[in-house]
Amino acid sequence: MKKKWYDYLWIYEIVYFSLGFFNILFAWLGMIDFLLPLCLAVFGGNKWFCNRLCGRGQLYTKLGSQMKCSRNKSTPKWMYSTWFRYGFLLFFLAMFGNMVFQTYLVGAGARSLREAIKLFWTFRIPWGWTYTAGTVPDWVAQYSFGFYSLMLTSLLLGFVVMGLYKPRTWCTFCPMGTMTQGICKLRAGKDKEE
Amino acid sequence: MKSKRFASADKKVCVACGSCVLVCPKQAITVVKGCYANVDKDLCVGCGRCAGICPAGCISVKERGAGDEKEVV
Ligand code: SF4
Ligand code: SF4
Ligand code: SF4
Repeated sequence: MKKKWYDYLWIYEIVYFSLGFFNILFAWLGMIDFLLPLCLAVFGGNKWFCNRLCGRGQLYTKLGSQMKCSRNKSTPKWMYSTWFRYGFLLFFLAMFGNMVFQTYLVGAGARSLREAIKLFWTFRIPWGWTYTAGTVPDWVAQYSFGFYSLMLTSLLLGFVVMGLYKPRTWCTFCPMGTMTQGICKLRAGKDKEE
Repeated sequence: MKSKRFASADKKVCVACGSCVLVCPKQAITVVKGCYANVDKDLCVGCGRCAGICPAGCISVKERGAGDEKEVV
């Protein structure tokens, strides 16, 4: 099959995460990975994002399949079971909500900006060199740190399951994947009724 | 002549990630409305690549049944 421009989006993924090591404000770019799949699902009723555009999925394929960094063993059943997928989605949304709340607190002046990222919702890592205080309103910076934490945590989780199981095992419980498929199913169900 | 085997995906388990679509040499798979993968039996050559990559392990390669063999003239 001839390569299309979007087959190279895995490069964008690497660029995105690299930028976060230099200037945390680039984390906002990740909102594209958040909003685009949802828009495509809500308005288009498809998973075109997961199927073709997701640089993260492509990166897992590159490393897992082509560079053989995956054991390529079957994913454990519970990992792609409905309860785990939706449970993880809820957990992720809760963590996302918490992150937005922290941003709000900083914006309201109830908390000061913390120049750190949090990995796996547990380990706080100082990340101050990526931001010069005062460049943007504190809440904008806080959101960057928070959002980048979520993105990096999920990327790393994805690498772990890629290594252990199939290259794209992450995709079975990726919150974006679950959410977009859920939306598509709702839409398809409605189409049938009409 | 059609192949002896063909792949089929379990709609209920499929997460619609599209990994299988990308590895299929015959472009026999489509993700239907973002819900699940569907294999076009007529195009499928039963190579099993899709089953190998599927992270949800929901593709199985089956022997073409009696009903199908009638189609192969
Ligand atoms: S499931 Fe997640 S990681 Fe996988 S292709 Fe979709 S958005 Fe990307
Ligand atoms: S068995 Fe081979 S030809 Fe058939 S759908 Fe899977 S990858 Fe395509
Ligand atoms: S690889 Fe498996 S889970 Fe993903 S779309 Fe194909 S059949 Fe569904």
